Amino acid sequence: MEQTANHFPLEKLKGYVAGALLADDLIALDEHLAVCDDCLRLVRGLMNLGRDSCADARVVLESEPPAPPAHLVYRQVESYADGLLTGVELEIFEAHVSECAACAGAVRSLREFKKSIADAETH
Amino acid sequence: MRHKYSVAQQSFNLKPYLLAESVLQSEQHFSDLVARQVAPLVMCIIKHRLHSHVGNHFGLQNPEIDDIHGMVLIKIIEHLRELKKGRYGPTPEDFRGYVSMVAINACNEYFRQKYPEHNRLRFNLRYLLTHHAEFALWKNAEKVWLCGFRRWCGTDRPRRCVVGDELVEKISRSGVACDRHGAGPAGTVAFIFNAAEHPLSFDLLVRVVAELWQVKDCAVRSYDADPVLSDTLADTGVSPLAAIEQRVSLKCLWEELCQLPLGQRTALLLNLRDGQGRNVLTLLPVTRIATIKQISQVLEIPLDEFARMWNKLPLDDKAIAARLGATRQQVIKLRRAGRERLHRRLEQKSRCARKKSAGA
Repeated sequence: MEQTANHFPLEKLKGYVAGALLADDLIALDEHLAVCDDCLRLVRGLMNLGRDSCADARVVLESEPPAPPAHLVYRQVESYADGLLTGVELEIFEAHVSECAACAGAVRSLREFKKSIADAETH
Repeated sequence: MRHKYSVAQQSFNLKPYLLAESVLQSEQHFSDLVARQVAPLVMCIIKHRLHSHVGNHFGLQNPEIDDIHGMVLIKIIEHLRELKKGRYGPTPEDFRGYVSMVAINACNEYFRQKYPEHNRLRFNLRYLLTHHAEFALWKNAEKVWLCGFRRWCGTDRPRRCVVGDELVEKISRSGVACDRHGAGPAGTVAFIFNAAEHPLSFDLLVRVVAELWQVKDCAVRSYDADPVLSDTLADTGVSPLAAIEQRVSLKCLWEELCQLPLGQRTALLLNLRDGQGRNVLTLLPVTRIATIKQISQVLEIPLDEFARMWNKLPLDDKAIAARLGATRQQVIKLRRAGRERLHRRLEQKSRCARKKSAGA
């Protein structure tokens, strides 16, 4: 198929599909595919994608084995109550607490308990 | 504690079952594996864990142990079946470890669900003992957790002649108010230690405080009536596996992925594969759902760096962990948390769409 001067050479499109383009070419092609229907059609053909409209594209994700329920252990709740959790640990903690009523209850209970210790010492 | 089964420390050999070619051989190996290795180990763990958690205080009945045992076996049998179908990739090296983890988690889940107030009290008292200057918590030579005043720390044996009921009676007769609001947590615990005059086992302290503070766990409510309880059940009606196997709209998937916190987003996107193991990210530019530039922005990775990474995707957990400054286990947890949230939100969207089309 002929390529006009504004399009990318077929070899580059093949390189894109094969995962062999250098970074600069990849960035440039990425910008081009966003606006060029012809090149996009060629790439989709090279990738053997169907003729479904892009809006209808569907995918089946790879399975992962279901994990046994992993509730928060005491150390995590303690660290959170003491303000010691940061970064990734904090994100994992908050993700679990947002999904698990039992652990959310345990966290709430410890916070209130901690406050009651402090209040009793003040009075 | 002696148990009926003596389970030696050895890994389970799954190969005869997984490699058996005939259905008859496969089922024979399966039955053998479950009956002679898995089931005894699970029972051993459940009895040990629940005894150390619950002891005789809550009057644990055999039917309850059998229920938990049955529930754990169902999960493991399901997992074995899936392994046979080859759905989970390579066989786990430590299947014995997996079985142990499922059993331990089931026990923790049981205790947490059946006695949530006592479980919280345990956490709270442990916090007090480890943070208050006057108190201490330590393990003796028999690996029993003991507690008491800090000056008692290191004392090996609890005073066996002191039992919980005696202690509660002694404190009640003293007339001192040991409610949590009057004496406060530290005051209550100090009073108990003074009354005991010797270190106590941690379990005993929890029991005594629960008595004094009237901490009671409600009878199990109907799961149907209580959406919170049903949400915390280990087994839900929908298997995440089934949900993941549904063909999801790539556009919806991308929109939901963008909503995740950064760690979960990163752990998922850099490793996202379809059912054939292909990198899902490559579909986004060619369906005009997102450009490589937009994907790099969502991942908060500079474009030129991401462009250099593109051809190496999907990354393994070790590489993702290095990027996040996390451990491999943390990456797995992040991805799991992200998938659970995705699953929930995609299900909700799907339900809304079905309601809409039913109403239309």
